[in-house]
Amino acid sequence: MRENVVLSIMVMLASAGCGSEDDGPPRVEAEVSYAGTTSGTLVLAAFSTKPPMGPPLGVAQAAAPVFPENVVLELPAGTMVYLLAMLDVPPASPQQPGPEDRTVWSDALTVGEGATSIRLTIAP
Amino acid sequence: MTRLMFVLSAFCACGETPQTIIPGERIDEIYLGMTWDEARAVLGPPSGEPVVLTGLVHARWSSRRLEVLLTSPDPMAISSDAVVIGVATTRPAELEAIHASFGEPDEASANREAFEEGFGLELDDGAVVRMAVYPPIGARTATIDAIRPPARFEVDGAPAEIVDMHLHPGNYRTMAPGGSAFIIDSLPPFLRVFGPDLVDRLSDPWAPHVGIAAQTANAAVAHTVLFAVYAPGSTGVFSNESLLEILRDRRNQAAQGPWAWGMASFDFSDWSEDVGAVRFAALRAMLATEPSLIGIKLAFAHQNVPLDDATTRGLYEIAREANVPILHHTGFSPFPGTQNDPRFYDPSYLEGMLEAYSDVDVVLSHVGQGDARALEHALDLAARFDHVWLELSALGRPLLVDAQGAPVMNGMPQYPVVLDAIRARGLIGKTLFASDGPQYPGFVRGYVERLVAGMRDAGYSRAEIAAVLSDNFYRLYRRARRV
Repeated sequence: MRENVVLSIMVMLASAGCGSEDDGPPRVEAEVSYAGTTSGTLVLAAFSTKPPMGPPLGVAQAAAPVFPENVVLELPAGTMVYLLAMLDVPPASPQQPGPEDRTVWSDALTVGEGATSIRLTIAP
Repeated sequence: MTRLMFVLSAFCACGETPQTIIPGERIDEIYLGMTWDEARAVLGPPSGEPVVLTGLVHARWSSRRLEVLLTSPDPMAISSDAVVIGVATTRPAELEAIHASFGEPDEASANREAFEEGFGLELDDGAVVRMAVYPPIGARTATIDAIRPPARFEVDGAPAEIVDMHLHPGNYRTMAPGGSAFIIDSLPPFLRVFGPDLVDRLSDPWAPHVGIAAQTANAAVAHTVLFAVYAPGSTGVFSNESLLEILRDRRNQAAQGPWAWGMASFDFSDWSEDVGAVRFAALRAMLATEPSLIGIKLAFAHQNVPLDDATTRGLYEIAREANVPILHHTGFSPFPGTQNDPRFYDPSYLEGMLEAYSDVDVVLSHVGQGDARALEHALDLAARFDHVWLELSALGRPLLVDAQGAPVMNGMPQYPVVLDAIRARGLIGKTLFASDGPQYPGFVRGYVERLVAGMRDAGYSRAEIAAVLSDNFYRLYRRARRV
């Protein structure tokens, strides 16, 4: 039975968590271009399928993007993803693209160690 | 109150400073309840821009391996008074050491553990990769003082009222384990470790910033209908009595009428004739005395009851006496523990009841979604029976079975096809908007936008869109008065 106690325990970090990370964490670095005049939050979301059949694996945002805007999304190395770049035009709906939003999908890509770069262009 | 204080000091062999983790309270100097300004003053600027998901904000400090979850009064930006509701560390830790000091978790799966004192673990192949602190379930006290008026909604420049007639309040403790796990798995991975508290908040009408009332206000929904549910084997239980507590709450009363009406449900568990008689009598009395209950909601696929089960005739008798509609879940459900035999979800199995009770209005929720045969049967029944109506929730999901009964996986939402079919068959006047929220922050808002856009694309007129959004609801649900 749990009691009203104070416990102190020492947990040693796994050695794998302390290694050097010269290349930084596994991540996608997306340069997103858009030549149109509509403004909104830029959302970069990674999905395991296209069209999505579940929640995004990761999401990054730029609230006031200046194009070309660089957005970084940390994801586990080795993950195969489709990237959705969305200019979320008001009314804002970052989780469900609406008809007013501007979007572009990437082809499938696999996240490598360190940075995986990609360029995406949202049509005006 | 018994409260376990758990101080975890994490040391790193490569020189990171120790971390202090107190469940239900803090990680290091980041406390639950801090504001965004206070957290930022301690931690400095985050790594990258925070992710803002309609009132819910996730920020991380990579160099400190810290993540903070907040709710924000501004649904589309992080405001200075946004409140910390969770803190997580991504420092690896040894699961055995945690169990040795803390005991077994209250919930466990292959990739998550949760402890009711207010912390959770994310596991990867048995290793702890993320540990989160959040309020103990049931101990959260912050609530809204009043319901915020909804944003103005217009269709082609004219104001339109929206009623979302399918929303599920709840609390985490009475959800079925499989149901709550399914909901948590439907969240993006970086939110799942906060799952128990987050799901509890999202299902709470009165939770600040992300509760149901906040979500409907963001979605421009003026009124809602909240459901009781008795499905212990799939989604869980939210009793009629719990529903009435919400409906009677002073915050539900406003000059423009109540924010929420309710639909009572019926418990089929541990069934016997004697038990049934008592429960039928209780439901009858409740509907006779509670005008805020405007109908009966049934989800036989979740409740493990065939749609044509003769036992259920008593419910039609009660609906007839109370002059309220019955709403049936139809179509598939993604929840584990749900019956996926057509007899439990295909509305064609209701035909005998529809013929026997032609004076009881019946709403086919989800229009039989997921199975093209059930979907066609729902449309056909609505076309043939004056007292059969259609309700549009959960149609963002893809079709899973085609008209020949074969599996199909195109990933496309069903609402465009359904909206086209409803218009083609002249059923717009019998169709009701609903979302099946709250699900996740922003879901209701997004569903409103998708369905309205879908109706425009399908050629609905402004008056027809307004009819679906609320006019038809007020015609059918006579206890709900438009103010």
